[in-house]
Amino acid sequence: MTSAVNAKRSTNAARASTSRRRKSMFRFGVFGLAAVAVVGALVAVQVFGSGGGAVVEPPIGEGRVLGDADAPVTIVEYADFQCPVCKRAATDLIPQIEEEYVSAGQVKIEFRHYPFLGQESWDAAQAAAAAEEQGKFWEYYAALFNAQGRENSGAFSYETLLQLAEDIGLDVDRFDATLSSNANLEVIQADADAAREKGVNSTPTFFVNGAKIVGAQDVGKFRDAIDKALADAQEAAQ
Amino acid sequence: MTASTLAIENRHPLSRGGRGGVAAALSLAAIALAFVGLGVAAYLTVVHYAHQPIACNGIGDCEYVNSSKYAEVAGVPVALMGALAYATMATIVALAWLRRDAMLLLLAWTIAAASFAFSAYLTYIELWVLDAICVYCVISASVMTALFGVLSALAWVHRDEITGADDFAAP
Repeated sequence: MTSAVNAKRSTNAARASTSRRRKSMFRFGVFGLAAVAVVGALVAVQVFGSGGGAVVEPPIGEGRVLGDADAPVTIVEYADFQCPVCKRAATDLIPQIEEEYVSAGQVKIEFRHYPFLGQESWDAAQAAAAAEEQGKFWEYYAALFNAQGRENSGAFSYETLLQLAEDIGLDVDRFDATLSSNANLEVIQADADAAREKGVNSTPTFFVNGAKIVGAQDVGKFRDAIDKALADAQEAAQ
Repeated sequence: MTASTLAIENRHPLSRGGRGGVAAALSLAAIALAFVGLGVAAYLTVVHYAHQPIACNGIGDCEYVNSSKYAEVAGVPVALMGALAYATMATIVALAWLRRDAMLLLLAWTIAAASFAFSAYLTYIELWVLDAICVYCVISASVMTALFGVLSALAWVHRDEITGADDFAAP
């Protein structure tokens, strides 16, 4: 009789153990599936969502200057077309300053070259200068940032630079001639030398009427600097 | 009545039998890993926002990866999501240990599974889409992998408790 009870007990125990194991696996399965579903949703939002990968819209300016030549405040930007933070400045920061200050005639922005991330930085700078000769610096500036890739990976190969010129409607033969003759190398070198003299060692570096701001920092920091420069300019005028 | 008292005592799920030492070691390892990951992810979050003067100065690939469209999901930096995941996992594992609550472990394991899968996806993007490697991202992905391993082991040690202690009260 005892052995019968024991046998029954052990059968029950075995059954309970199997059911427990099943239930355990089931819970891991359910929670694991939930985890996979959450990740799937995140990936879907990233791949199909509109956010991220902001596009640089070409600003409208003269030569390498955006805004009124008589604006009381000048922002000089030293940048490298291969630099991702410079791209971020072009997508977020500069449009914001344009909207708030440049369009009101208070600020003008001057682009200067500081190519320091390798050969393709120099090639891109020269290509931008060639576009500037045809009056389309800012269109080419936007095209370059939109085509930006990893450093010196061929994103700014000679063929791509020609293609971008064609895309924005430049005279490609003339562009090719300018670029292949290194016609603007000295201009770019002069920009870079001036930058080094001013202690620029990373990009983007901005000077708001001479006051240095390093990096694509929050627009609030630029507002402060611009407002101060505007106040100083007003004081000087009186 | 003695038997049922015993059963209740045995229900302290995270302190049963000889597994206590292993569980404690695994819990500590998980918390330590989560803190390492938190440090890396917090740094990457700062770099992403770049409100500090972290500009392009020769560590381009890291910045390229961290400012690509894959560095955000609907405007939220993945680095920030990682930092939150690490902090949450460290907290939950600590709580699970203190409160001897196996279901919290299952929750931590779930977050680790999701984080591991997402970081595997991000590593794929780095290698095959961006063709660029960010060292800190690789460190984070490795830490996440190890954390998922440790939490899987911890959850496995406590698999019976995760089933629910009520189910095996009386043989």
